[in-house]
Amino acid sequence: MSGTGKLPELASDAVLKQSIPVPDDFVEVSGMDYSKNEAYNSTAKHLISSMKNMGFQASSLSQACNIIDDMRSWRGKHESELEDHEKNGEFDDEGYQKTTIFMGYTSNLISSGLRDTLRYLVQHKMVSAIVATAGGIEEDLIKCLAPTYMGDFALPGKGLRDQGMNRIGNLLVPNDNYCKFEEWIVPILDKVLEEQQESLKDNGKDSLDLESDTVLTPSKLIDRLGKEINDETSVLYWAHKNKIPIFCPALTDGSIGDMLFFHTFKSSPHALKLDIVADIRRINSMSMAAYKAGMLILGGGLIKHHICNACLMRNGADYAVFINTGQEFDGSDAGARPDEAISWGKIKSDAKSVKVYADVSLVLPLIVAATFASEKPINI
Amino acid sequence: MAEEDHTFETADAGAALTYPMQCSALRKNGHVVIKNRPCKIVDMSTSKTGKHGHAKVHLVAIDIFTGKKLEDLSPSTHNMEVPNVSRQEFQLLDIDDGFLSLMTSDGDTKDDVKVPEGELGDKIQSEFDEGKDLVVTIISAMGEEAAIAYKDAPKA
Repeated sequence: MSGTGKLPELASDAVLKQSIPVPDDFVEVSGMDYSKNEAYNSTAKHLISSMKNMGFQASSLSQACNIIDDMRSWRGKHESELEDHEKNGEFDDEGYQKTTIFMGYTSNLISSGLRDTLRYLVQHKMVSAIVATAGGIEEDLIKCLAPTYMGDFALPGKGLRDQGMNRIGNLLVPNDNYCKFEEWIVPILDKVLEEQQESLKDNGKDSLDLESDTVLTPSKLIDRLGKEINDETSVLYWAHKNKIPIFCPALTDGSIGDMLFFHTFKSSPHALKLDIVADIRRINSMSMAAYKAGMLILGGGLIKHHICNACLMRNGADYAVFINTGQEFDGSDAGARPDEAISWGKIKSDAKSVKVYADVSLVLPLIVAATFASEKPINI
Repeated sequence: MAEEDHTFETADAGAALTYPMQCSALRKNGHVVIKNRPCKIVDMSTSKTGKHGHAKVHLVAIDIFTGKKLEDLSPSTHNMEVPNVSRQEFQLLDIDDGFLSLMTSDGDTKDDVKVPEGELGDKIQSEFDEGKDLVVTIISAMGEEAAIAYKDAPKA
């Protein structure tokens, strides 16, 4: 130190770097002031909007809600202004074009209490199509037969195996639930196979034609299961009622797959056939016909990419909300941000998109409360 | 007599041909009916109750008449049919137009079992032609019969 009272030039350069003048469009970080009267007993909508400039995932959450509101409220032309061949997408009750919303969720969300939230969205026709994994199908059905229970993340696997308990995070499903599921589904598979054999006899080699209904697709089998379960707590039931297709290209990857496997021994030499090609045509056609396409993707893996890939067929989705905990550093699609999907043309470059880094069970109830369920649906 | 006799296909006759047994009680080398065929179990494995539902028994078995491999997979608590399989030895009297002429222990003749196809049939034919006294083992199950082995008749 020179003792002159002046900072050395090197240090002042490094530490006291002069700021540029703050641009006019900078937004001040702010949060919720609970001492204000309007903060007490706040609604979800109010809470979310106060998180907008909080930073971190709070801001992303708020942005996700805005995007959902945008995709839900977009309206295009009235049907009367369109040529017949243009009337392929979705219309609201008054006949105006609206966004086709693809929702994807993983199996664990159906195992959790989020099933009721997801069912609400399907029950009130708030989504146009669903992509799920096999567990997302069967756990919905099994819950109509027997409950899933609260457990603990720390329960040791060996002890649970000995007790016939299966763990999903901190939830438990007894083996007996799957026995009930087997008893329920096997007669249905028998019936479906019988119908397939009948139809095969009636239609001969036309059975394999594109428009033939002889060979079911996963989405048609799921629709059938929704009809058969006939239970208002079920997502599949309402999807059947409201004609919302549930796509599940990996339908065999779960207990349903086990049942289909066992069924081949029972049905041999006949065998139940499922056609995944007709389903990819169906979901891609939906995407191409959509006037605007929105994605609400809860979790990662197949359900995320299947929706993104369908939106590729229309040169990208117009709205995208990803909620997951995946990381991108390993190059997995599960962890990829919307920007990666833009590079592939799965999301339009001018689309509104966000990724919320969060456990879906934590944020979806809040998001739905602030968006889809912010007003009571008319059809209740 | 040589005409094939199909009376075993009538409804009540079937009951005596097989009997039910719980799947979990089946054993390797035992018999079981798969796809309405009498079979010998050559391999079996079980999977415990789990995500796939009830405990299952996986059976690999060989059709005792055709030698064809058959598989089945059944809940272990379900019943499966087990064929009544009997083996009897008969003195070979003659071979006529592809059928064995056999003598029962009562001294009657039995002419409705075919000469088996393949090596076994060829050997029976050639050794019979050589003038050997032969005893043929006939296996019967579910109304079907077949020669499965032969040996020289014991010297009196």
